[in-house]
Amino acid sequence: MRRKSYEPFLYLTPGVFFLAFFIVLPVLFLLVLSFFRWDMLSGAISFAGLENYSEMFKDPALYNALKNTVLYVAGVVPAGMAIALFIAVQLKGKLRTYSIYRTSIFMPVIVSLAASGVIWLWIYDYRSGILNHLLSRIGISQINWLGNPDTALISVIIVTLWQRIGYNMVIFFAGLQVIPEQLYEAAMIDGAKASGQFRYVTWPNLLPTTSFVLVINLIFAFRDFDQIYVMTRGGPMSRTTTLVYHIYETAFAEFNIGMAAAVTMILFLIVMAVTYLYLNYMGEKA
Amino acid sequence: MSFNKVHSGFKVFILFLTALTISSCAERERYADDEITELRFWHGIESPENNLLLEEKIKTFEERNPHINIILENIGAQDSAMPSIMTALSADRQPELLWFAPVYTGRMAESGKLYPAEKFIENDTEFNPEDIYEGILESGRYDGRIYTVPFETNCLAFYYNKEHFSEAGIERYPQSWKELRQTARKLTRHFREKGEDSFGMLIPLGTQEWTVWTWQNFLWQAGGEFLSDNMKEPGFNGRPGVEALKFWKKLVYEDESAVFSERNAGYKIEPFIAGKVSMMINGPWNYPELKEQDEINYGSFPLPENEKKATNIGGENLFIFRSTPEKEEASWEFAKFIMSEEFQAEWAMNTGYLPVNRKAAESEKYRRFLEENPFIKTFVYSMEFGKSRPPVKEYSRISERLGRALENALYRRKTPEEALNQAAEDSEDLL
Repeated sequence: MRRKSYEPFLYLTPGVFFLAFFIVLPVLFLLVLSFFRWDMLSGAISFAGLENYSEMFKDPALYNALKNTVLYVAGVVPAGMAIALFIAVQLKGKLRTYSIYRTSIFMPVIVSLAASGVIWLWIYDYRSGILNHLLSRIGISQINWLGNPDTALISVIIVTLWQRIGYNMVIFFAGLQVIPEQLYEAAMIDGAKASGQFRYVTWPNLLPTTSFVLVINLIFAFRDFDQIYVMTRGGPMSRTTTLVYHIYETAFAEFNIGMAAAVTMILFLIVMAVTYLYLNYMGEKA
Repeated sequence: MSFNKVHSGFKVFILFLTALTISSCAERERYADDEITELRFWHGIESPENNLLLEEKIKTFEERNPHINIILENIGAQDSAMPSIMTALSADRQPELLWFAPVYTGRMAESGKLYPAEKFIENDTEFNPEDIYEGILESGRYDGRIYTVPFETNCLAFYYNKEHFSEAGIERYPQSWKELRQTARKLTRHFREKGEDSFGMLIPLGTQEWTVWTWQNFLWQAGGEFLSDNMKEPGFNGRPGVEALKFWKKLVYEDESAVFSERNAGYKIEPFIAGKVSMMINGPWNYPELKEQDEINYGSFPLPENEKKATNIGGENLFIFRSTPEKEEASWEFAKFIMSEEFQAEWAMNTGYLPVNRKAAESEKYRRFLEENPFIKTFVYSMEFGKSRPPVKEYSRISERLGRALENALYRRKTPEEALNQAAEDSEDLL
């Protein structure tokens, strides 16, 4: 059978279609939208030029959202990675009981974020939540976890950690699997203790995995929405309004689609920058 | 040979998939039989019992109107439904019928996609608009025209725990702000004596509409208005607004006789059922559940007055979207069915909502129902001094700003004056 030159492209069509329609076009459309005034309900649409952008930068809500996002990312990513790595190293062995631990740590990952948000709402409940109940047993007075502007963000961060650690752990496991056993044996012969083994064998060999987890976690953290929507609605006092929640509010409560698109472009640029740095870094390594 | 066959079969499959992708993008809506008019009806009714009742009633409607077929789609309650509605409208894929809060009438009327119900009302001799309570019908008016018609209505009143009241020796429910304050203190004092950490009253906290809706009662009671008379300026930041907000703060911080709800959960009845609070402001729709929890312990009383009596009217309207003349006609038939004495009475008796139809409210069976269920009677009585939120296009956005102001003041980050003035200033350009 003679190969025709267009044939490979034919096979690509479905994939290209998918990519074009569900990724490239929406992003382009978003960019276009950010130059328009549109409320989606009344249908009135008009060209705004750069107005959305200039208005956006004048809006203190944007800076508040950026600040919260930075705090949130800083709270979620390093801790989420460190705890997951620690657990992965501890539970690396093949013991039967370990697999029970691993499964239970992974469990939150399969629960939808919205559902776990609801569960945590009950746990955090000021008056009848189990957390405050347990704390009162050890003599700590009740804390209004989600209602107090000073504890709301950290409370959301804890839920995200609870959810994400299992996911990170599994990837770290995969990374640990491929580190040859001989390296550990050699290290042991040289007299390395657990900490030395980690420092000189595990850590350097795990670096590609770690950087992958870092990027994925950064991207996840910038995009987290469900738990905030379910638990705090961006409050109290807008203290848990992250960029994504700010976009949601701008679009669906303020009906300002153009401005929401403009803020989304900011988020898009941030995530792009993270990805670019990562690819660059990986390129150097390879 | 056989490999080649498989190979070309695979090719055909891939091409088929591609074709499918392309064609489905271009596919237009297909209609069933010409005879049958299909109407998509989007709603966000939450309770399973009410959903079942609606389905049953729609079956009755379809039996009487065999040429109409209603397709029910639950799109979730108000704020989670918003993205679906916005997407549908901008893609011109809106349903024929929508159950939604009347405050969105203006915004959707602006799109030109809403069919003004007034056109039907004017020309349909079968329908008498005077059967519908005027104030409720007005909630669907925008720019001088009635666009949407009422589906169900409600208003706010106090729930109270009868056992707590009699234990604390309270013999009559509070009629004024002053008495409300005394009652809350008395109840709380009683709890403290018993060594319990319950409170006299619950005050909603959060930036969402529920808080704003509840607070407006107090604004009106203090003699204030949400907007100025010509609806061009905010009015909530005057003396009455400040007084209303100070009253809430006084109950919580000074008297320590009221407690804030969980954020954005002021409508949840759990603290009330659990006996953590003795009084809370809420609507009639929880009655079926309250009755299930405890047949006799829960009562209701009208909101107390200050300078005047007021309660905030809520409820949902039926929005009819422009489509084809047959569908619009059929939608109007359905709207009439919904507003009918028969539907309204039955819906009200089962759901706790209040009838929008005067005849339903005055009907023999509904009156008997009220005698047997004095809890609901309070709300029907309160409707007499009920007020609706202003029918301005930007209501929901102003409410957002006001919600943030209330939170700022209740968290004591700003004084009531500062917070309300800020919200008023931010709202001015919206009017």
